[in-house]
Amino acid sequence: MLNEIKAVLYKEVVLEWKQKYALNGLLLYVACMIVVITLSFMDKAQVINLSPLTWSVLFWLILLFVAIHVVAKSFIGEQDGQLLYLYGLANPVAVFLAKMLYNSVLLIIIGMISGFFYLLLTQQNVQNTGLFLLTIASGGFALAANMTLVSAIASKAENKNVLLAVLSFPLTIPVLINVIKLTRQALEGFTLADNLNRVLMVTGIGIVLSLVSLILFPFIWRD
Amino acid sequence: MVRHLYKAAGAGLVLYALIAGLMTELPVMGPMGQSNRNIFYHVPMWFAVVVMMGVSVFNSIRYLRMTDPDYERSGAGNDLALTDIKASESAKTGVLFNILGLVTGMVWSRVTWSSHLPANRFDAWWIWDPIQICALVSLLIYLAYFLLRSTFQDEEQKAKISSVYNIFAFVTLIPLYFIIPKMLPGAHPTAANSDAGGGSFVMAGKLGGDFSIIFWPSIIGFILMGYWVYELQMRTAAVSLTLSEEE
Repeated sequence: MLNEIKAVLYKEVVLEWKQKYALNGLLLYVACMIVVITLSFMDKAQVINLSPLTWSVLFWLILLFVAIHVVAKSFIGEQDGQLLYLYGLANPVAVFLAKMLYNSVLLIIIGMISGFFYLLLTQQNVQNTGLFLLTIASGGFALAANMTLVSAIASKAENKNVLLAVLSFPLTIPVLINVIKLTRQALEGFTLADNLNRVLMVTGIGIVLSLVSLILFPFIWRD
Repeated sequence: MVRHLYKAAGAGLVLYALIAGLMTELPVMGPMGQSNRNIFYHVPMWFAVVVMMGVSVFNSIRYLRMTDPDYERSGAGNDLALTDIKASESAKTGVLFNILGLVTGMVWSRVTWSSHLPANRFDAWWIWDPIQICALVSLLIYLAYFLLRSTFQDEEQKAKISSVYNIFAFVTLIPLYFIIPKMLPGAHPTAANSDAGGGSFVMAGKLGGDFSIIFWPSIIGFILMGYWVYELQMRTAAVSLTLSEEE
């Protein structure tokens, strides 16, 4: 099982590296969003009125749409035959787990890169960097855990891409409410101890949802 | 006969809650005035929602267990279709009570929550209280469930995949209903900043004796009425399924 997960993960990374257009596309998308946001808050060459709250809301909206694109690739992007071939080579649950891990790692990396450039361009200061990074890590993991199964569900239906957004957005709200608050607290310099229950809640939602996904995935991969 | 007893019990309890809830003299609690009687009608709706969603997810789990090859199948294929109908119809009844709960809450909030708004506004139909938001999100989740169901042509695939989504959605409903509303400040008595202390979901200890002898029967009555609505819907859907198979 562990070897299979490693093999599928390796395959995902190699594929991503070979067809760079997907990753580059995402990074370019993030860059465009950040520039648009920064420009719209610009007045006389200065960023004004961008409060920590607005900053965090916009940041997580960017990441939410990044997550949709990242996750859509894992099941909707693949052709049916390819996935079946993959399930023949490795345990389907291992394939699913590898894809979920890959999604969360990719989401966390993109989150950190875009967070860095977004901070730089909007001239915001993070008072508590550790909490900020922890928020991106737990939030990225929870979003990936939430959306990977939904992507597998949506890939079975008609009108896949719209359905993916409709099915997953309401489910992500418990995570988003908490990570937006956490990001704001990190920008304003609150400590981890003040926010421990939120961090635990986001991580807990991620862990519970990934376990539930692992139980449920065997029922849907076959048809 | 015994099968129908719960309907009489539900109707009787709801009738009792309607009459006693409006006629009994009750102590006035803070700024709510006489509108606090709505606690007998608004709160039970949410108990009915949770019970109906529970019935729905129970049937979804049963459906998935029945399709599992390892599971010893006793009934025929028709039983599978009926289980799927049970899951979707109880979710439908849950959505009905979700909407009723939102509406009764909106009427109540207009009377009592205007103090949470700026002085020049008195129309508190909707104040984005955490519980309001969570209730609205749960409504969106179940509307998405029905949208998902409507996209499939193949009945079996529809049943299986929507069961998976239903179980997954129910898991996210738990933080939405039971955890987040207690963490955030809001106007409901369960909110973190409430004068009533907050934290507990049902304020049973804080309600006087006169309240609880109407409140708890009303909850049971509305749950039973909800189950009755569900059973009618479920049987209608089952009959129309049988008819469409015979054609």
